[in-house]
Amino acid sequence: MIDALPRVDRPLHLETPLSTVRALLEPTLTPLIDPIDPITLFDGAATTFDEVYQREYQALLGLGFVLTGSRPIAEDLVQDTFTEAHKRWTKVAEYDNVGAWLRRVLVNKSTSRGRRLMAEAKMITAVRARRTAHVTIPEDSSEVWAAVRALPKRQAQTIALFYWEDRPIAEIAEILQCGDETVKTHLKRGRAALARVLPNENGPTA
Amino acid sequence: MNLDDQLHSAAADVRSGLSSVSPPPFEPPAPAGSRLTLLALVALIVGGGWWLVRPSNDDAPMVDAVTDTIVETVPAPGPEPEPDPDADVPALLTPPDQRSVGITGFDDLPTSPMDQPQLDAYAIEPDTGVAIRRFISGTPGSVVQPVFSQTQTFNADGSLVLLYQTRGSAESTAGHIIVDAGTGEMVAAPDLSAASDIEDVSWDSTNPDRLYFTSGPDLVSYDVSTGDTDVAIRTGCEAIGFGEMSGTTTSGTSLMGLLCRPVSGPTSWAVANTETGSIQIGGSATVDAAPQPMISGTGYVVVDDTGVLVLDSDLSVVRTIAIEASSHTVAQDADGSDVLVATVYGGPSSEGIIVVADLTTGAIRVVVGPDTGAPYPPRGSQLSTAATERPDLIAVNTFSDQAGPLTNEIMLLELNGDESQLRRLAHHRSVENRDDGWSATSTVAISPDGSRMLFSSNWASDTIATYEIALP
Repeated sequence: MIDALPRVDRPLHLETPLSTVRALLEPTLTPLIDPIDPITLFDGAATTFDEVYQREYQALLGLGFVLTGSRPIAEDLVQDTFTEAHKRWTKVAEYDNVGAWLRRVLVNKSTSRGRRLMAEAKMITAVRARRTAHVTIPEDSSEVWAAVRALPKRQAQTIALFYWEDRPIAEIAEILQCGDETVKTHLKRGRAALARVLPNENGPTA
Repeated sequence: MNLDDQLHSAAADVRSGLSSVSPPPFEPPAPAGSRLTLLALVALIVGGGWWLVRPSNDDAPMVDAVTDTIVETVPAPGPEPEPDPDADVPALLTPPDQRSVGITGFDDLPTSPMDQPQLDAYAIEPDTGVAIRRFISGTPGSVVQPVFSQTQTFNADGSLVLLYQTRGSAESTAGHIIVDAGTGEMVAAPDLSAASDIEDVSWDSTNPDRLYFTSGPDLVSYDVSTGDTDVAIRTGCEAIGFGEMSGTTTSGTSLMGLLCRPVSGPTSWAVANTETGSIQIGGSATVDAAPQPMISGTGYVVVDDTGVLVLDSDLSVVRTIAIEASSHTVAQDADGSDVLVATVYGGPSSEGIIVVADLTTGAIRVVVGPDTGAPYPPRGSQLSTAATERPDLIAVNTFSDQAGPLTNEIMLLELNGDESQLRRLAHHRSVENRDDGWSATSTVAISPDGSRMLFSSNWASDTIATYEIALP
């Protein structure tokens, strides 16, 4: 809007120092410019792509691991997730909850059987070259996550986000793009199914 | 320990296991322009050399389709061709009787430069003489390709093709699309978002307008001609799915193997009969994979990463085969025996791009692998479902960022016992980059009669399209 352009009380020239220009324009421009919202993660910290990458990498790797049972596949998922973010960072950075977006992308990517096959093949060929890493966890914990992965996918994702990520229902609903009640249903059914297959002292917990 | 404690403890163990992991340096994808510039330079250098030694059109490695003679492609020095006076006529449009069936052998076959084939004309693959055309492509940066090599792409009569696209258009939204198998024109854009997995979709074995997907406890049918979605079989399970197997019906049968997760008790193997609308529940599933009907319909096979189980018609295990199958498909040898064809990277059996397990005898033989003079399988090897009318034919692709023999190629496996043959049809020219993720690995499909193959490729760009190879 022409009417909204700032007015200054003295002429500006190319030679005018930038600091002077800024000082002259700032009081007039400030009300016209949207405040730059910091990128908000779950912890509310303002950050850049690199900071998001550093901060979220391990949590996303863990989420990918519990959903797939394979560290190489999880690494592949995390790399692809951050690549998606990097490609459209200008847009992603404006989201209120970048962390939720990252998790949504990763969770959706984790459902591809083809991706799993490809990553497994990559892992095997890497093993031959002795340059891969695994996650070592006790066998009973490994069985717990295997039981989670055997659940219907949305139930498994809900359980993983609830127990691995400690996410509240509302955040899980945001990540999975569904309602709170749907999350509660997935959680209830998933826990009931796990109670049937995992030995535990309380029996079914649903 | 109660369930909550078990889950929290399991989460703590994973945190502990990952506590020493620090993020590797992030490698942003190279801009498409940079990749294309690099590829253009490579193409210029390689292509310049190739141009000097390339065969003339008359010397192109065409094959007499009647005698089915395979001609090795050996670029020979030739004179500079005269400019084509009929520039408006697609010089590379190939009549069907001139199509090549590719080459055989396991020798290294470097990739020659080749322009991306167009939608309306066949181009000749310079390394094999095979005719290729672009079947369908979407908007720049998009993916339009067969859902997955081990998911049925062609319908029962080969008239329709099921694909997956990542971006919508005026006619459709992102997701599954069904196009005319001849023209590539959009026929339907079914909403299959309720499917338990994008790959858990399967065509009916006889009705060309019907496909199925699993959704919760139901096997749901979608009718292409009407657009109607109906519950085909209400199973009574709490949920059904395919587990680690892709959902497939089998030629000549209306059987579809499933996993049935009941309201209580262990998960069971199950078989849905789409013709009768009934479901057969078997014993407890010992692995998280659905049974897949053998081509003969006499039994089932279950594959997971620990081995192969052969089930009889009652879903009881009758045989185990010690083979760690990666990409795999049920097929039938030329003599009619039921087999599982697999890519094997390791385990108790020999390795290979093509390893065949006889489901009746349990015998394992390597058709293409180090035991037969071929290389260790490239990591992105995929096998298609077998051609439904020719279950001895399977499309094969290989993918790796490392060049080598039988690498980054589209091939056709023709099973015939000890005379089985792998015909090398084309380099797919799909280049791994982080933009594409695993989609760039190329997926393959073969038509019911084995006369056409589809494969996807990004052709060294940021757009993944689907291409067609016409076979004699």
